[in-house]
Amino acid sequence: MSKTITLEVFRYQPDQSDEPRFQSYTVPYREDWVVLDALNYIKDQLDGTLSYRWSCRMGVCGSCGMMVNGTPKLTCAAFLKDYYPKPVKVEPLTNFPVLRDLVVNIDDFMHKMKEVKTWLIPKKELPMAGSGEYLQKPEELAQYKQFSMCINCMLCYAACPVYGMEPEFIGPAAIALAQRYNLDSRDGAKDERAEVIFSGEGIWECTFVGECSVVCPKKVDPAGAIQQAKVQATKEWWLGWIMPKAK
Amino acid sequence: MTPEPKTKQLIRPMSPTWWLEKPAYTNFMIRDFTSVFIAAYCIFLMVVLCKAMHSDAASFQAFYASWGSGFSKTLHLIALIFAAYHSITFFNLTPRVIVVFKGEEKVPESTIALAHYGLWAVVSLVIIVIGLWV
Repeated sequence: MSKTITLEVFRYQPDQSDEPRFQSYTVPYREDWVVLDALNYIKDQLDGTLSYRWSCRMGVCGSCGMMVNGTPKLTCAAFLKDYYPKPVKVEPLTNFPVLRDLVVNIDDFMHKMKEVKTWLIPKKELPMAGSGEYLQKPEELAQYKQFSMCINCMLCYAACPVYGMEPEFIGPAAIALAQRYNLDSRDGAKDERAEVIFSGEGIWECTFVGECSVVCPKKVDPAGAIQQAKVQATKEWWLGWIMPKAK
Repeated sequence: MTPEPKTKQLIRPMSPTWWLEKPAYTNFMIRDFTSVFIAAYCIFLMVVLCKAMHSDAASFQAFYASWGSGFSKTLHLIALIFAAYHSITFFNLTPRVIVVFKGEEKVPESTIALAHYGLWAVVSLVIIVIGLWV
């Protein structure tokens, strides 16, 4: 008889009930299957009503983040063999409102990314009417490369108790991405971001629990990025105080 | 402000015992609460030293003798353990805050941490020597 594994899946169907519940599914166990493969099996073979997000299946798009046995994971990178033979509990990312089953509302995160301006705002216009290149040395790239690996999967928000308690907190990924652009030699919008990042809802909310960096599938270390921004903000505050004209 | 949702959604409030759900969260709470003790100890130390310095010789002798009591020794031992614990957690996290590049290469985290531990040892040694000498 072929091996099987049980998935206990969080279900929330607001059109049927206001109360969430868990539903058990037994799926074939294969060593090369990840939790996402098991969810796809359920969707295709057992229960077409199950809703969840996914896209690339290779840890790049950041859409399939869920709680797997209580830990935020990319389900495309969470192998069933690491849980077998015990059942696997799959829930939507914590700290986010649930829209349906495993689908969370990411509006707050998207709004924060916009607030922090997580895109390159060039220091100067391109030469030759926009057709030139923004040159950068390898050592300048090295300064921010680690933070540029963020795939916006939001696992760090699900791991952050501060965000859970204070939803106004800008949060790990948005601050790490702000730091990514602030450290980019081509960018010139550090002061525009400072208003949000250095505010009470920004870096100073963080108490360095550090779990955001532990769960990050891309080793971005958002906790480190936040503490680095704190040092930078403190340095700038003191400099502005000692040498007000230097700014 | 975050836009209001257009559809019905489920809000899952955090449990009051969230910090017991994962050892990492529990460790964080231990770190936070022991720092409150350290802060209270620092304030206490400053207050009693100020009072002692402004008192006459007889009162100072009485104050000095009180530091040898069992309660005082226990309090200071706890303070020492907590201070050492915070120094270690602080130095372990320092390499993630102080990032030094040599060209394209990051200076290894272990080098930054070891430099801090080395400095800690030197400063502690100097304080011990001064303490014994005085």
